Order: sequence, then C-alpha cells, then structure tokens
Amino acid sequence: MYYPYFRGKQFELLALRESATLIAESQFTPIIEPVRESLNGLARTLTSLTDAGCRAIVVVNPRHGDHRDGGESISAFLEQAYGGNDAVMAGLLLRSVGTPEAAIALIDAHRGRGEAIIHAGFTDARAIADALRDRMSSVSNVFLEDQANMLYRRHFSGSTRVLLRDGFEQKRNADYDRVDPFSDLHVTYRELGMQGYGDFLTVGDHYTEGGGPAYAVAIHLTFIDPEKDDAMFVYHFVSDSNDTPTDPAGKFAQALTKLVEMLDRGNSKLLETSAIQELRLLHERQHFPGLGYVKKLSIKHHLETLADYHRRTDA
Amino acid sequence: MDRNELSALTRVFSASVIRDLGRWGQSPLLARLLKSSGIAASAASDAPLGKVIDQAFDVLKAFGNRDEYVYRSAITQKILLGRHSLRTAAILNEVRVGPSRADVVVLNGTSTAYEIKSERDSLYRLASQLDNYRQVFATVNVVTSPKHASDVLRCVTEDVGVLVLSSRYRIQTLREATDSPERTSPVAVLELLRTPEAVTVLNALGVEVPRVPNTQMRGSLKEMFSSLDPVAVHREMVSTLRQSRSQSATEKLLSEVPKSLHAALLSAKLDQTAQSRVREATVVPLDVALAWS
Repeated sequence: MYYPYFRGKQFELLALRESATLIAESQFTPIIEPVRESLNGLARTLTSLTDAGCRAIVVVNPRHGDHRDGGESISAFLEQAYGGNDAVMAGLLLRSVGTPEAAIALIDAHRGRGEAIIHAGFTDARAIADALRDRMSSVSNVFLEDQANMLYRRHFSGSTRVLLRDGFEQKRNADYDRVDPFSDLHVTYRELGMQGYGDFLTVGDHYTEGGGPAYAVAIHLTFIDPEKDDAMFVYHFVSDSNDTPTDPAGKFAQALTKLVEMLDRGNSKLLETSAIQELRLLHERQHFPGLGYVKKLSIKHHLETLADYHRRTDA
Repeated sequence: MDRNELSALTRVFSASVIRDLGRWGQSPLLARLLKSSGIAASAASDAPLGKVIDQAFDVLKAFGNRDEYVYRSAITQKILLGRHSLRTAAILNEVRVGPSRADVVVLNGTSTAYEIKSERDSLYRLASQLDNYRQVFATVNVVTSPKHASDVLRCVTEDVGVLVLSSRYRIQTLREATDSPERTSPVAVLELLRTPEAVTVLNALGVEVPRVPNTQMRGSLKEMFSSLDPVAVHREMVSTLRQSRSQSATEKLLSEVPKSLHAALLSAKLDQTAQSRVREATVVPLDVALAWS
C-alpha cells in the first residue's frame, strides 16, 4: 500500500528503526536508497525492520551519495545477509541513462530475490515489459510520477504497481508559506489503477549532501484534512531571525513556539503522534536536540499520520 | 594563457579537488583541469603529481594571472609559516563577520585579518568589509596588487594596514596596521565563537556561565558579552581560538607535500586517513593521475 522512499542518511534510518513496529502493523513497504559508503547503519535498520516483520526494498544501484558509481557492495550485502529471506527485496533504479540491454541485465542479475523496478526516467517501457512478460505478476513496478507517464505505466499492468509522488516542495526554509498541499495519492491511488503509492517523506526527492549552515530553521509537519476530502497538507513552522547562519538552537525555539501555539489553538488538524508529543516536551524544556533529530521527528510524524489514516479508512 | 585555461588553473586549488583527494585518493576533476589548463601537455608524463601542481601554481602566480588563492598562499607562506608557526598561531579562512567574509585571519598574540583584493577584484565593498572586521579583529590589513595600491591607500582609514604582493611575489608593507583591540565589540566577537568556545572565554574571565536551556544559550551569552570589556574579551578569544582551531596536526603533512598546496590544505578539514591519501596522491606519476575517471 504505502511505499515511503528513504535516503539512507543517519536520521532517516533512525526514523525507520524507531517506526519498525508501526511499519509492520500498517503493512508499509519502505524503499531505502543507501547513500553512505558504510552499510552498518543499513544493516541495523534492516534487522530492526525484519525482526518486526516488515518488508523493505533496498536500492542496489543508488543515484545519489557514495554508491552512485556502483552498488556492488549493496548487492553482495543483501545476498549474504538476506539471501534466503524475501522480506528484503532488491530495488533496481532505471534512469534516463543506460540502454534497455543494461537494464534487463541488471534485473536478471537480481532475479529470484523479489525485484522492485523503480522507473526513474527510463523511457523504453516496451523493452522492459517484454523482458518481464512471463513473470510480470511477481515483480513490483514503482513509478516516479513526474518521470513515468500513464502510457509508460500501462505497459506494466498485471504487476504490482506503485506510484511515487514527491509531495514536498523544496525551498529555502525562509521562503516557505505556513501551509502547502502535499499529496492526495493515499486517497486516490486505487482509482489510478495502482496497488500502492509512495512519497519522499518530508525530505523531498532532491538530494543534497550535508549542506551549509542553516539561515532559517523549519519544522515540517503533515496533516490530513477531512474537510478537504482527506487530502494531505504540510505545515512549515519557520524561525523569525534568519539573517545569519548562527544560533540554530534559538531559531528552533522560535519555530517550535509557532508550532505549539498552533497546537494550543486546537484546530491544527495535526494528529497527536509520538513525534508531536516529543516536540511538546522539547518546547517545555526549551531544548534543541539537533537538526537531524528534528528531521527524524518530522518523518516519524508523517508515517504515523498515514498509518492512522489507513487504520481508520481501510478497516 | 586564455581565460578558460586560467579559470581551470584556479580550480586546481579548489576545495573540491582537495576533498576528492582526501576522500578517494584521486580526483577526476583535477585530471580534467590539468588537461584543460594546458599544464598536462607541458609536463613530463612521469613527473610526480605534486610537482605538476607546483608548475600550475607557478603559472597562476605570474603577474597578471593571480587570483585570490595566490594571495592566500603568499599570506600563508610568508606570514603564517614564515613569521609564525602552526604550533603558535592558528589560521582561519573565510571567516564570516556580519554579512562579510574575512579572507584570512591569523591568531597569534593578537588577531590579524587580511582582506585580499587581487588584480581581478574590485574595491567596491572594501570600506564596509573593513568596518565589520574592525569590530572583531585588533589588526586589519588589505593585501592587494600594485595596480590597486594607491586606490586602497586612499580609501581606507589610517589604522588599516596596506600590503602589496609585488610583481616579484614579495609582500611589501606600504603601511603598518595599528593593533587596537579596544575598538572591538564583544558581541561581534561572540558571533565568531562556537558555544563551547564562548564558555571557555567566560571561564577565563571569571564570569559565571549562564545556566539556561540550550535554545536560550546564545541569547544569554549575547547579553553577558555586551557588558564585558572589549580588550579582555578579545584577548581571551585569541587564546581560546588558538587552541580550539589549532592546525598543528597539519604541520607534518605540510612538510611532505608541495608548497603550492599548503594554503588549500589549511582551509580543508582532513582527518588522518584523508591526509595520507592526499600525501600519496601527490607522488603519483602524472600519466596515472591523468587517467583518473
């Protein structure tokens, strides 16, 4: 059903580990694109996930980060650690670069471990569909919405099809409005002929490495609006004094105050998740836990919000 | 030497090249730059990479070709490593002061800022930059080219030192800077300090450190610093940063790699492994380096 896409940065992996039980109960399938050379964090995360009974997809040919020139070590790791365990599937990214022959060779190399093909800019749908003909029903096809149109997606009917939409618009933190639309795929994916949907969390598809000091600090929190047909929106709580890249802790406190004021008004529509409770506690203590930690809370909140939605509507 | 070749040469000494070398022990970017700058063609194919990089620097430092890195390198060699050493002085690069960035700051007994105005730079903004630096550093200098020298002398105040990098690559002092810690502003100095450094300064001054949650720490520090004596705060800022930002661990590496890379290495933060990768890369023969991809 829901396929959240994670880049394997430390705080994203932590969000996954801490949400393992929720992910298992909700039958979500996280997709993880490892971006760090060391696979230790990934290994620990997969252990947490599989112990909890989750399924996961690990991208073996990442577009970004340390493995962008080749993910042989990821394939080897999956084979060695999860050779006989179909809970962890290989995710194969098909991008605009590369020939159909190379794409098919990549798919065949991971045949049998349960493949998830991620269509991210590749254009020759027919060649791939032909190669998959006799086993279409056993593969998952994940489409990046802006890079695989309906005509393209039609070639893969008969397989498990998942549509990924990046609902998170990336801007400079200082430039965000208070609220933006996020996505309605959680409501509409079946009508689009899909068996699942996904997003890039409150991080976005656009990948940055580290990045400089933050001039503004923002807390991004998603919510579902029952008055708008259950569409999802995202709040951006942004600090005020944004002229210098100093004092992130003080800026976090400014953003957090705005969030808590909104919560106190009682009509925020934010679900009272474990992340919200933790943010309330941070506000009480006036404590800044670091920017990565805040990002982790934002992701956990998003996962819990969608889990709650499906619990209510799919029952 | 055309503009493209010159801009390729400038990038040879960029942070991205150093980062690549530290991370992977090789840099495809550097290989491309050595080709497109024409340096590769003029060097022996078995020459060690370090020597070829020195050749690149020699072209870049020729009068008329100089960029900011050549000036930075001159300050590093002739002032930091010439008059001081990495054991007694610390060097900071691109130090943010208000909306400006001081190109080089040397901390020894006092703090000295160097603003570089190469022949490629304009003097627009210089006055406002210097105003910002005066609030943080006791001594402020402009290092410039003979072309700009008389304009700089005319447009900066008496307390600012003016140095010229001569056509023969010597640093000449046209005017000595005055050392005036009393004109610094403790609140502006605080902006330069990380929180643990600010705490060290307060401890040294015998001032009690505020006990507040971390989101209120900078605000409280600002309040406290605003009532402190500028000379005392400046003195403790210098002695704190000399230790906390010390690069004495880089000293050994510098003795083992070509001089032209020193300034670039001092502005990079490399751990032991990265340092040894850089060191090994500099002895690779040119033809091997050119094949990096």
